[in-house]
Amino acid sequence: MNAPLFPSILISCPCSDNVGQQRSRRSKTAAADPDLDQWEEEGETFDPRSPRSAFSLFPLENLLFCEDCNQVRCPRCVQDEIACYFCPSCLFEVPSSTVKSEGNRCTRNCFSCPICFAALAVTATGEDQTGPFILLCAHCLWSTSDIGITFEKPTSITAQLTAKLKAASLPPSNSLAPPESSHSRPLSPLSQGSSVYNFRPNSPIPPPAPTDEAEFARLKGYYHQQNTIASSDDFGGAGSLSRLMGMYSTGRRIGSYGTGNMPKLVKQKQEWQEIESYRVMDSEDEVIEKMKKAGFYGATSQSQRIIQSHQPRLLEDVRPLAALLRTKRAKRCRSCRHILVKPEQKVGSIRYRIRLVAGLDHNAVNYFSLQPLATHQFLLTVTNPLYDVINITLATPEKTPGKYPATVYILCPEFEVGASTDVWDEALGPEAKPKAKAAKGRKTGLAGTIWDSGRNWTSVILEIVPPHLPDDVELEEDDFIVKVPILVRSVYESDVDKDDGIGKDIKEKKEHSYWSVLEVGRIGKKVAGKVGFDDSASAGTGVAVNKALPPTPSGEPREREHRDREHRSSSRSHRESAGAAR
Amino acid sequence: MAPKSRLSDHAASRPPCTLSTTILISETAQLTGSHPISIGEHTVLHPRCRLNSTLGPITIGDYCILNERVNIAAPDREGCKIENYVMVEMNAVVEARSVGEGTFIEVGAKLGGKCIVGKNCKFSPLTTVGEEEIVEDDTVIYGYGERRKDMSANKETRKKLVERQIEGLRALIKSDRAKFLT
Repeated sequence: MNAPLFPSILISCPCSDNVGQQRSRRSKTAAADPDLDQWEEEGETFDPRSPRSAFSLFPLENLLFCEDCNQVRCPRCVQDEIACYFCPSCLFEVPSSTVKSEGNRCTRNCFSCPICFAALAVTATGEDQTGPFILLCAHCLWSTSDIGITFEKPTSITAQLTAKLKAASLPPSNSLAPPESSHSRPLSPLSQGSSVYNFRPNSPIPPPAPTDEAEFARLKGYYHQQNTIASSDDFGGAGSLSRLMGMYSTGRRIGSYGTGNMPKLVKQKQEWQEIESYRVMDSEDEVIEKMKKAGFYGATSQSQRIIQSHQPRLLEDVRPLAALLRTKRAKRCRSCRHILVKPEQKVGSIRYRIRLVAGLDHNAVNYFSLQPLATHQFLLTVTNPLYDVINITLATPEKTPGKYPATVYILCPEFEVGASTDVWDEALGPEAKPKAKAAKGRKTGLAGTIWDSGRNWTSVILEIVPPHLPDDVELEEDDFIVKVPILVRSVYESDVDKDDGIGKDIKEKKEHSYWSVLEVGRIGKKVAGKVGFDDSASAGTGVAVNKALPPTPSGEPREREHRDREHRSSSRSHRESAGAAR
Repeated sequence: MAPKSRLSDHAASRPPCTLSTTILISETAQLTGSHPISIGEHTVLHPRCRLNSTLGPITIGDYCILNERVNIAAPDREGCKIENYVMVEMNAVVEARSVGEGTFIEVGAKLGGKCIVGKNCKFSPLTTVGEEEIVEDDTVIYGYGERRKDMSANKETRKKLVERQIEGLRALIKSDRAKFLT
């Protein structure tokens, strides 16, 4: 397993109640309960170590945001909707009606190799690109001629293959039967049983009767008939009800509560019933004999066998695999049915029409540098992807939850983050007004002041004193990691949706708050003779913070210039992603 | 100190070559060693393809294509013999005793020392064959060393494809046969 990257930030989705806290209040509007002190009074501190918290914490990139509910939406509280089906090989869209009738495989010329699963290509074997044609794997050179199948024309391979497989699987007396229509879907896994067919035309042993296929055809006909009866009935009529009752009561009376008239049970079962159906297995001597003859290299491997619907034991029984269709999915909010993600309908395009990624409305929080032991100062940068100025209030418990609490202190818990305006503002800003910047007294590291800020980001200092872990107690891996729950509350004013065209200048105050968990780092071994008093002494000056940090095995303290560069690049990338999605 | 150029080293020991007149050999191909190297008709040697006959003679048949950065070396005094219609793709290493007719050696494949490869084999990209191994006719080695027998009947078609490819390469590669005969 890869070592976790520190520091990391996880955001809690309040979709399941009572996760890591007594009650989820975030489902209501935050305006109803704006006072942060009240949160703390109610003891609603999020506990990142609660076993159930693992199910509610997600990295930012896995989250969506519902604008109507004003809430984060995790993969659990969104609903998937299939936007379209397509074949990954030929990129043709398949209508859902076809998927329902023909199965979930491509009905064009897309097949993959049963041996190595690479794509098969239609290849001419005759002179000058004329027939007969085969499906050839360019990788392992397997071809349909290996199982004795060639095609007359290079198009509609699926139909040709269906006809050929059907002809080969039928007993010789029935081989004159008309080739089956595409309805019985021999390429679909549903239509196949586990009996072994032989497709070699000159096989001395006649293949067993296709009982599974016959059964499938019968069941299909039966359900189709039921369906037509149901649709012709008047909706909710007595006829359909009695039909349904009859359908479900037949055969169910075998159980202990069976008091109905017994003669009815004798009626031949019509619908699919798993319990009642059993099958007399064919003698396997024949197969064993064939396997003996074929040897190791003539037998299928496990992966080759299970991917085939009829699970052949011998390589001569494999068939080309029709490409499985894939889907594009739209995502809806489960509570308000608002669409959160909608991909472009065109198969070839990877663009999205709607995509409300949480990053757009959430403030990406970046943390720099990590170091356990003694007093450590971290820079906490809040980036604003919105076009409005936001006011951030950070709240954190003084002691983190858990057996060995760390002490946490945010020097400046309330601050403002600028709007995500034009990138040029940042580029030209410092030159335009250098004096204004200096006057604000940046980078002092004093309590109540921010560390630094830019166009749409602000950094504050977070102080953490990790606990001393006892040496004589057996500790779990989780105890070593400092997890700081932080309640982030953002308040901003945004334009009201101009539905009526009147409220153009009306600003609406919006609030949003969520719990996030900052995994700062791992508590290391205490360095002998160096307890870190230097750190606490220099904590007030701020500038010396990083240089005073003792080196750790997990990572070197980063240089100040380096961090500055990261600040910019990260904020810029956020800006760009916001711009691209809008 | 900068390492000495290997090219200048080999300049002294240019091997005795028997090159067919219909051969297509790039001037940047490298034929090195002391044992004789003979190349059959219509064979193509791409730029920077390397043949090393230090340990033994190398014989290459007709209608072969040796792509760029291919490394062919004789494993011992008995030499390396590559038969007709063998395609050796980029970056492949061949140290086989013999390679049968119509065999395809794909990108980065490696045939270990003194192995004997049959006819119409195919080595998928990055597959390897061990030393002194014997690979039967029509074997396909693919994936993580999986093997299978190729039963398809399109071997003649493949040969025709190679011939057509060589025709195409004539327009692309500038041949400099004389350079290797002096």
